[in-house]
Amino acid sequence: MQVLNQTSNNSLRSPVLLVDDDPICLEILEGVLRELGYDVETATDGKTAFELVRRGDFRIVLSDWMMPGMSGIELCKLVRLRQLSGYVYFILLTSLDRRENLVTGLQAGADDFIMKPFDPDELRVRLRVAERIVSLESRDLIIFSLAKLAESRDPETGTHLERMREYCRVLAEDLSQTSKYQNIIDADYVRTIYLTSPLHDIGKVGIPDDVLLKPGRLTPDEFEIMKQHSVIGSETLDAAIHAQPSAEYLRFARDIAWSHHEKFNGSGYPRGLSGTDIPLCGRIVAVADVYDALTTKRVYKEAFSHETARSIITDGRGTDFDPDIVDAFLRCEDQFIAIKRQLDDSAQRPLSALLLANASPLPSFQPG
Amino acid sequence: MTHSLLAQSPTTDSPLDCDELLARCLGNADLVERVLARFRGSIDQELDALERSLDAADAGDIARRAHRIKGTSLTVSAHRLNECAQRLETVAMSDHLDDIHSCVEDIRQEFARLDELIASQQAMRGQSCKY
Repeated sequence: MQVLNQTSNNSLRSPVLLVDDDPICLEILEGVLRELGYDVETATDGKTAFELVRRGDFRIVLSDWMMPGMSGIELCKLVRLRQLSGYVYFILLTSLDRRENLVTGLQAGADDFIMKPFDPDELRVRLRVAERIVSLESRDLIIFSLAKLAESRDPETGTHLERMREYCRVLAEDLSQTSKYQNIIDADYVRTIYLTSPLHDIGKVGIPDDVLLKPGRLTPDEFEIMKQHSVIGSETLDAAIHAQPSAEYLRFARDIAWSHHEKFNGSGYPRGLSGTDIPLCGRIVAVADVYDALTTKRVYKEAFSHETARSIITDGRGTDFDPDIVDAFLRCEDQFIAIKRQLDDSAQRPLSALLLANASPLPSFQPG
Repeated sequence: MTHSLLAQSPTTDSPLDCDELLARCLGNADLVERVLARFRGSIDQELDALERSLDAADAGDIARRAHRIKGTSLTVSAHRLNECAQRLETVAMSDHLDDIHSCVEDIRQEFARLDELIASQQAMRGQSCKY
């Protein structure tokens, strides 16, 4: 096995796997990456490199294109073919005279290219991009894991979060096509609501078991306690925002957490806001949340049909719900039905399987 | 810290662009030293392998080895060696193999120049710690 070196200098950066059959190129790249603060492991052939990637220690691979035995392209294809636990960002190192073959590299699943001889500034920037992509995926998985953890206290909810975020995505995408919302909802908004809507009930971690898990309808006093989950959730996320003020998605998640039980006519909680004083994300999540609650079985009720849920939501147009969101729901009915069918609780999977399935939760981040 | 090679007046005739190499190594003269030592240590092996391919008249293998030398020379900023390797790769991949011996000879000479330069700098560094 041609593993040349391994380090553990407690770097906070993602470790990088360097693959090149030329030990001189490896030496200089390794030295430069260490100067840049990366942990580095090196391999001189594709087969060894693949074993290291499969071991799961590397999310960033920088590989030479031309190598005897398994080439960089073949290594890249192999990495893409395997179901690995996380996305591997693959950079191919290539000569200037192979520029015309970049399409081949992209087709093999490479994310980026660095031309030989490498420029250290370019190398630094491209690795930062790689780290950003990899950390986004980690962030998304952590957010969803937290949401699932909070939800796991309530055995009734099943795949509620999976359906919820899909419903939210469908509604946001539909609204983005309308003249009223096209300048408000862009692709980033859709991604963010998909990412953060599973956190809407994270405040339920602060609700006592005898209220949260009560097998029946809540008394008025118990309902007052249950209503606190929106405040607890927003306060929790506020603390996270305080620790990381630049994380816009946390503000988005906080707004969803406190506002998804507000009602369009002002009769909701916790603040009793009405109309567009309620954040748009909260108005979208409200429809998605209620639709899912209506169409799934709970301890106090059977699952309603889509038609019944549709009728209840339509009745709430302008009172409980924003009329624009209800109209979007009606335009997207078929997609709601399809999502419900695809993510039905009757086909529940264990938590670990769900988390693995959500390792790359954002469709737009699928490898090319 | 000054790289001892930089003390020399750079000329277009120099087999090594030390400024470029030092910049590629982010100014780390120790790294430059290690890379050049490894490069120097590989020269005999590369030439032997090239000779064997030449004796076997294996044009494909010669082209592959030339490509590798081309990549290495680019990385260490040995531009003249890179040009020689580029020519050898082109010739080995063409139907005109008559020039192949002269191309290999060019590479051998360029390797010798680099070996001499790096050896002299290593000796200087040993005496005066200029790296």
